[in-house]
Amino acid sequence: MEPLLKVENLKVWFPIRKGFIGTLLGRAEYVRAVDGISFNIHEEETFCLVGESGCGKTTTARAIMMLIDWGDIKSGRVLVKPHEEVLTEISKIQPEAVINGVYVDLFKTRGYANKLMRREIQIIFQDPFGSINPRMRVYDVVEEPLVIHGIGGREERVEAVAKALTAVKLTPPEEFMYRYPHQLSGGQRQRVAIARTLVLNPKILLADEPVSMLDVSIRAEILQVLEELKKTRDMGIIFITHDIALARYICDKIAVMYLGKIVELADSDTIIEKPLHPYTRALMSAVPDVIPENRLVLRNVPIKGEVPSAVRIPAGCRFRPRCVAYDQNSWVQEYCMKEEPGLAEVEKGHYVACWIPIRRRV
Amino acid sequence: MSKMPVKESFISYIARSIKEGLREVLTYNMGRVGLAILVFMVVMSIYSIIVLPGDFPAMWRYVTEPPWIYNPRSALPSWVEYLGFDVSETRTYTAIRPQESRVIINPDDLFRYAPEVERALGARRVALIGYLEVYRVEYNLDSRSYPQDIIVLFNVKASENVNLTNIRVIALLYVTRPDDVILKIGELSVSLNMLNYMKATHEYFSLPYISYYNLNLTLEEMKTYFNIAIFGKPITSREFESLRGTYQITLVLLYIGIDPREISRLIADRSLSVSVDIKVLGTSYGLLGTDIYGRDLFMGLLFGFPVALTIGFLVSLAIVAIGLTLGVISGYFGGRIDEIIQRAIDIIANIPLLPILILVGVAIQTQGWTGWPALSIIMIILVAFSWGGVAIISRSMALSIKSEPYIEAAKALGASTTRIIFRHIIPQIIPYAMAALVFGVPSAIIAEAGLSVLGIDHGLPTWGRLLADAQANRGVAYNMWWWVLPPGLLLGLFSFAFVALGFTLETIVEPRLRRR
Repeated sequence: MEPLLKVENLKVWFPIRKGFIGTLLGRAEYVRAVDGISFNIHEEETFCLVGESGCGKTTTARAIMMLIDWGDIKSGRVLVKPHEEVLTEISKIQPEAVINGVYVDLFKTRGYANKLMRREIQIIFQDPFGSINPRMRVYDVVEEPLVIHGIGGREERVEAVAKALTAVKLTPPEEFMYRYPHQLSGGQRQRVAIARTLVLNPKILLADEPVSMLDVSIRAEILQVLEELKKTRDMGIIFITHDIALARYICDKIAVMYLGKIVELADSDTIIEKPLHPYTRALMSAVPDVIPENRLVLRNVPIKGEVPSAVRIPAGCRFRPRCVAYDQNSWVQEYCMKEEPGLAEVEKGHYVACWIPIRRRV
Repeated sequence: MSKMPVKESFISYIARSIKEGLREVLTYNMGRVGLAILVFMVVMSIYSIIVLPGDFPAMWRYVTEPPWIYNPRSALPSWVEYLGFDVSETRTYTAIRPQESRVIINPDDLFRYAPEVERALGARRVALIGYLEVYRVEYNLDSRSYPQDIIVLFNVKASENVNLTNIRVIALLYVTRPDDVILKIGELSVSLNMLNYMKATHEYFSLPYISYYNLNLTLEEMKTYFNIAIFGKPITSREFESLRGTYQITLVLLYIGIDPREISRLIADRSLSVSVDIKVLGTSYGLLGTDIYGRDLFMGLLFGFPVALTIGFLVSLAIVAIGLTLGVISGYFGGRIDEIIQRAIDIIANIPLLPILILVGVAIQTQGWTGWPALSIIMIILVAFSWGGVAIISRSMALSIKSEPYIEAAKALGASTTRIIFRHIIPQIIPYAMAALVFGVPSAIIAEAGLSVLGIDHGLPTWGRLLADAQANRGVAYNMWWWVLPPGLLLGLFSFAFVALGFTLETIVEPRLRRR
C-alpha cells in the first residue's frame, strides 16, 4: 500500500536578518528549524511528531500546509496522494507536479493547482480561541472553505456544514450555526475548527497540539472525534504534541524530533516500551506520574543542559552536549564527535539516530 | 431545515455593524445628544436644498442686486424685540389689493379717491384721466429707531396680446404720518413694461419740509437721512425724534395711454395683472437679521448646512478610505510597499499644511475659480495631507491581526489575499474607521472655516465665509453680534455633535473606556 503522504529530506531554513554591514561581511546565517526529515503516512494512520518546543514540529506542519515561504524551504519535497478527481485536474493543468502518476509534489504546484491541493491537507491549530475569526458565526466559519473553493450551491453548503457539525458532535447543528465563537466553550470551538477542515473532505489532517490548550476533561472528547474521523474517512492524521503520554494514547506511529531532526521513529508501542534514543528516554521519564504513592520519589530525568540554538547546531551528533549516555559510554564518543548519526533501522520498523544502538549492532 | 443560514456578504456585514453601532450609540447620553444634533443638521440641509434657489452662491455674491437691495441693512434679528432691544420692525405687505380702483373721466375724481395727492406737502397738482388704483397699508412705529426705507415692488403679468409699451403708469407714493402730515415720497412715470420697483426719496418733499419746519439742513443731508425725515419729527432745527404711531402708506397708480375703460376690462378679465408689494424696511429683519449689504443671514447660514456636511463627510470619508486602504496594504504586505507608504506618511506629516493651503488659495483666486471647483481643490489638499494618521493606525492594526491564528487558518484553507483582507482584516478595523470618520468630520469643517477667515475665498457662503465677511466688513467692530455669533455657534455645535458621537463610538469600540 502506497503511503498517503511522503516527506522526503525536508529542510526549512529561515535566514537571519542581519544589519547592512553584517550582510556585507559574513555569510548568510540560518535558523535551521527543520533540518532534513523524512517520513511516510498511510491511510487510517495517526502519525505523531513529538518533541519539545522549538524542535521544529510546527514548522514541519506549516511546511506541509504550504504556509511557509517557499524560498525558505532549503531542500526536500512533500508528496501527497490526492483524490482521483484532483489528480486528473492537476495532471491536466500542471503535469510536471505529478510524480509517478499518483503523487503530487506540493512545492511544485502553482496557482489553481496549489489551491486544489489545499483541499487535500487541512490543519487544526493549537489555539481554538485564536484560530476562529471572532466576528464570524459558526456557520460562516465552517462554510468558508466551501466558499473559497467554490463548492456547492447554497443548499448543498448548508447541508455540508450541518453534516460536518454533526460529525464533530455539535448537535443539533442548527443550534450552533448562528452562534458566535465567544458563545462556545473551548472544546466546542476546537470542534468547530475540526468541522471547518472536514467540509473539504481532506486526505490528510494535521493536528498541531489540538488539545494542549483545552481542559483535561475535554481532551478525551476531541481525541475521540479525531479517532472516529480517521476510521470513517480513511484519513491520515499527523498529530503534533509535546506530550509523549498523549502520543501513545492516540498514535499508531511516533516520531521523536530533536532540534530539527527525527531522532527516533517506530510504532508507538515499540517506542514507549523500548526507547533506544537517549532523548526519547529523557522525554519518557519526564512524564508526570499519576500514582500518588510515587509523588515523593525523586525522578531522574537523564538529560542535561538546555536546547542549543538552531543557528549554531553542534558538530557531530546534535544531541551530544545534552546526552547522558555520551558521558557514560566512552567507546562511542569518537563517533558522536565526528559524525552525525543518520536514521537507521536497528530493528524491524524501529529507526533511531544514535551511534550507541547503531554501533552496538554492527 | 427550518432556519436557512443566509450567507453574510461584506456589505451586509457593514450594514449590520452600523445598525448595531447605532443602537449602542443611543444607550449613551452623549451619543443621543450627538445624534440629535446630527439629525437636526441633516434636516436643515434637506430644508436648505428645497428652499434655496440653485444659483444661491452667485446670488449671495452680488450684493448690489435683488433681493438683497430690498432688505434693510445691518438689521438685527426680529426676535431681539422681546429681549428689550428698541428696533423697528420690517414689514412686507405682499400682493395687496387696491382699496380704490376705477375709471376716472373727471380729473377732480383723482383727488376725491386719493386725497393724499392733493394734500401732500408741495405736491404738484396733477389732473389726469385714466384708470386709478389706490393701495393703502398701515405701518405702526413704536421705536426710537427709524425704519430705513419704503420700497414698492411691482410684478407685472400680461397675456401676449396686451402691448405693455402702450400703457403708461404714473405711480405716486405718499406717507400719511401720525401727525397728519402727508409726504410725497416717490413718483414714477414709466411704460408698464418698465414698471419694476420704486424707493422712497427725498426730492419730492425735502424743500417744503425744510421750510415748513424751519430746519437748518442742506439738501445733501436730507438726501442721506430722508428716512429720519419721514419717520421723525424735528425737535430742534437739526435734531429729530422718532414719531411713534400709525403711518399710512398710499400708493396711487394711474394707468394712462390707452382708453381707461380698456384697461379696466384687461384687469377685470386678468389679461393684465399688476401685483404690488410694499416693504417698510425697519431695523430688524427675519430670524437672524441681515449684514451690511442687506443679505439675509438666515439664508446664508442655511446654505452652510449642506456645505458643512458635504465638506466634513467627503473629506473625512476620503481620509479614512485612503488611510485605511494604504494602512492595510502597508501592514499586510510589508516589505518595500510598506517602506514606501510609511516614508510618504513621514513626508506629508512634516510638510506644514497651512502655508500650502494659503498658497493654493491664492492660486485659486488668481485663476478666478469659484464655487465647488475651488472648494474641491481645497478639500483634495486637506485629504492629501491628512490620511497619514489613519494609515499608521490601520497599519498597526493590520500587523497585529495578520499574526492572528485565524489568518493562518484562512491561508491554510486556500483563501486569497483579497478574501483575507476584506473578510478577515478590514471588518476588524471597521469600528476604528467609523470612530476616525466621525472624529474627522469637524476637523475638516474647522479647517475650511479657518481658511475662509484667513481670506481664501472659494465663493461659497459657508459658515466660515460668513465669519470672514463679518471680519472683513468690520461687522465685529460695529458690534454686529448677529453676524458673528450664529456661524460661530453653528460651527461649535457641529463639531460638538461629532466629537460627542466620536467619544461614544470610541467607548463602544474600546470597551476599556466604558464607565458602566
